[in-house]
Amino acid sequence: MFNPDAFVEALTLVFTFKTMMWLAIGVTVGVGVGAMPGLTAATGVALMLPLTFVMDTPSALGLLIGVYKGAVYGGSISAISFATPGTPEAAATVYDGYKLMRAGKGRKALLMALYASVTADFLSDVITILVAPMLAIVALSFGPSERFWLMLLAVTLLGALSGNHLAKGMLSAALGLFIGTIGTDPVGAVSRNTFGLWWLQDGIHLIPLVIGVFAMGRMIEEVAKLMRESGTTRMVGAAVSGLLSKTTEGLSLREYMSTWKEMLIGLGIGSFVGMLPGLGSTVGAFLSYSVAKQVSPEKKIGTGVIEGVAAAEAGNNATVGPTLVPLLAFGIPGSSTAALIGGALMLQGVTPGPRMFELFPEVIYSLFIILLVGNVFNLGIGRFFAFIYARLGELPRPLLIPLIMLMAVIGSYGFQQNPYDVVIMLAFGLIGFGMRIFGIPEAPMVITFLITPMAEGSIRRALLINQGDWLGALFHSPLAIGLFVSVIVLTFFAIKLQIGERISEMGAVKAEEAKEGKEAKEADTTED
Amino acid sequence: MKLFSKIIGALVVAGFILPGASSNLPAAEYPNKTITYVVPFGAGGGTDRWARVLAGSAIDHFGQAFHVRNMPGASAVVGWKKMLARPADGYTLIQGSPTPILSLLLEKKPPIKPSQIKIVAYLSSFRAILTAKNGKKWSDWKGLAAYAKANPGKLTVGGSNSLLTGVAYLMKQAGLKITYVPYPSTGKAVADFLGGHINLLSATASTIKGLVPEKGTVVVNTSDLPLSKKIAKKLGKPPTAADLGYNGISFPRWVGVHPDTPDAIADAISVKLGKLLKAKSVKKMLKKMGEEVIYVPRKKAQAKYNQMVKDMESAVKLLK
Repeated sequence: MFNPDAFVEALTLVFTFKTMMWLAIGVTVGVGVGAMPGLTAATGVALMLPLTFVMDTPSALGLLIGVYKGAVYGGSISAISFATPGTPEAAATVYDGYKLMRAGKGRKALLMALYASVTADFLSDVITILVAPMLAIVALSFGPSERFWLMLLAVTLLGALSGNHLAKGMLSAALGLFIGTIGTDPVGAVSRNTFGLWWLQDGIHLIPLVIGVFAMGRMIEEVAKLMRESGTTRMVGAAVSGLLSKTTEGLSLREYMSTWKEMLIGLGIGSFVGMLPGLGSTVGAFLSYSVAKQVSPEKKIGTGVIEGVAAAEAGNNATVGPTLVPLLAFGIPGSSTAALIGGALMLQGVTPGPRMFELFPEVIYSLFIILLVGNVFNLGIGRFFAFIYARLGELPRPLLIPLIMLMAVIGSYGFQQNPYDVVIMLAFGLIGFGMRIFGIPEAPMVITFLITPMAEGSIRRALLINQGDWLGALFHSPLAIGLFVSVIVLTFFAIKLQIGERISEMGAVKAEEAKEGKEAKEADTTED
Repeated sequence: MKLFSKIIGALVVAGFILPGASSNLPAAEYPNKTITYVVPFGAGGGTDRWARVLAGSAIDHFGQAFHVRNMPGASAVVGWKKMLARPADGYTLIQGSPTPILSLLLEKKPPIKPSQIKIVAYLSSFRAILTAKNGKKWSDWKGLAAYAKANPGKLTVGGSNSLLTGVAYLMKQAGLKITYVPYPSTGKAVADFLGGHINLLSATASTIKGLVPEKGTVVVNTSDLPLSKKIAKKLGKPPTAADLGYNGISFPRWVGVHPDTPDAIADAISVKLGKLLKAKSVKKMLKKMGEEVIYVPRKKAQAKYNQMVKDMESAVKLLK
């Protein structure tokens, strides 16, 4: 129940110079951490955690929530500017963001990412505040069977990311599926598919994989292109001298408003994915991007349009508030960052869980207010960073390529100070380069890589719970059956859509050929 | 030219001798430089938080600072191997948990053995607390034993692998067959327990504290370690494995050094760690974190560690 006294107390606690200062510091640090490849939101929050030992509760929450929000947005900065996702959840932003940057519209892309992030984040926070306990109950009804179907549903929704060649998409997905099985078996805890390398026991981490595929792979391709070009030095000089003086295109209100559909998709998917423990913001971003692509094919998402940036960024930032839902309602952290925030609350003497609403209402309200106010700070501080990075991202390629390659090495090493991660990143750089040469899309690989361990763990746990009975494991509840039906229906429509597109493509080609034939005939007649 | 080669030769010899010389320093002079404190897990986890709290006051008790280094990877084996690659001079400590031991025991060809460590102290230990939903037939030990005997393998228990070994060790002795459902984290097991997807939950006391009494009832503390009076009261004074006439496993937060470290230096570290844990600021912070200090000095800790490895070795077979 709403407690007005506690709400007023929370307002007085939050709107102090100290809390606002820590919130601003948090967002600034967060955007910086997010923009740095290899450093995730969780790393940023973990590094700031010891500082909160000596703080009061609102300041501690301000700092940590600020870092969290800033970092989830910050990941898009390097994704757009350097094609290097600062955080794994920004990988989906690379597709359109980097193309916009190369087209000289970097500032527009960065501002779109910022506005979509803040809009979806703000609205998902409102959803969190209004329906937190109710959403948590829905999340709890997802057991191993239901989660398995949910993973398959996510794969089905991602069909659009396969591009024009379904077979190439399937190949990419199969590769991701295999890579997802490298490491420790999620149930038996025994290592497998490690090629006898002990350091692969933990499997491949998402960070070196996305940096390798999206940044290093692209840069190897750019180097190859560059080697074919001449007059590089002259081009560099001219571009650098013009870099600081030229004005870059911003984002108009009309353009921002035109992406409402993509932001809404991101908001819905991100909020839902965020409150389910384990799925995380990377799945939120890719799912939102894929659904937006399917819903509006006319917008040509993936070719360097702001709608693609809006869908991906709204999808990942909309998970920020909802990941706190299971933590607040049941004390279950929805993500590693939520676990760290839960740890910080415990250090403040507040145990997250259902009794928190009753025992510490002022802390809950303070958290809610900080979640909302944090967006305003993110907007202001993010704009400042966007301006600087937009300039840097427009550096000429001969300067930018080595810089990005260096960032990729530092980022993959900085993730856990583990040199093996650099080896993995370089290997995926080559794989990514090969995939680009043969026109194999990267997204299905990333998604199946992410989903495979979760789906395998879920179905194997479901089998254990159901004493090895497959029927029981697959169709454990009406919710599982409902999700199964959704998978079938969506697969049917995806195939139908694919066939429809093929037929219309073939029709267009035939019409083109007929037109050309007619023109040729007319030309022949004229010659006669 | 001769003089030059002699100088080079002397430098090379000094280069070999000097690091050795530092490792041969008497324990009384230890430590005379910064100590590297390896956390073989990522930043922000339980072990990392312990390390950072200790590092905050280390200079007052060791006379030198702790440089905390996170070296995660391969279920903590990366950090362990990196510690082994450093000199056995007591300047590289590692803090561990049962996770790397379990992972090494499950491997066919483990890169190192759990015995490749000299334990200097236990900082704390945690227990696997078995919890059921309220009002179920298996919500107390007697009921659980009767139900499991009548329905072998039907009851499901979820938790992280290491906490499930504690349950498996007890059930093996009691002759009961239940199904173990491993989860990558306790949080996910808690979610499935609350959602009614598994019957029982194996988690630490700090997790269970948040569930009892509204959402669950503690069945048994599967370890050999009784709970503190306050926590036991909060959890409904559950029986321990010993109360039921069985042996139990508890899981330590251990600190170790290179196995070749001189005993005198290992003893010095052990004593200093004991004093550090008694520091007011450390105690206050750990209490805030909901952590319990259960300090065990070197020799006793090493013996307990050796026994735990043996017990886990027999328990992991039940999880496979």
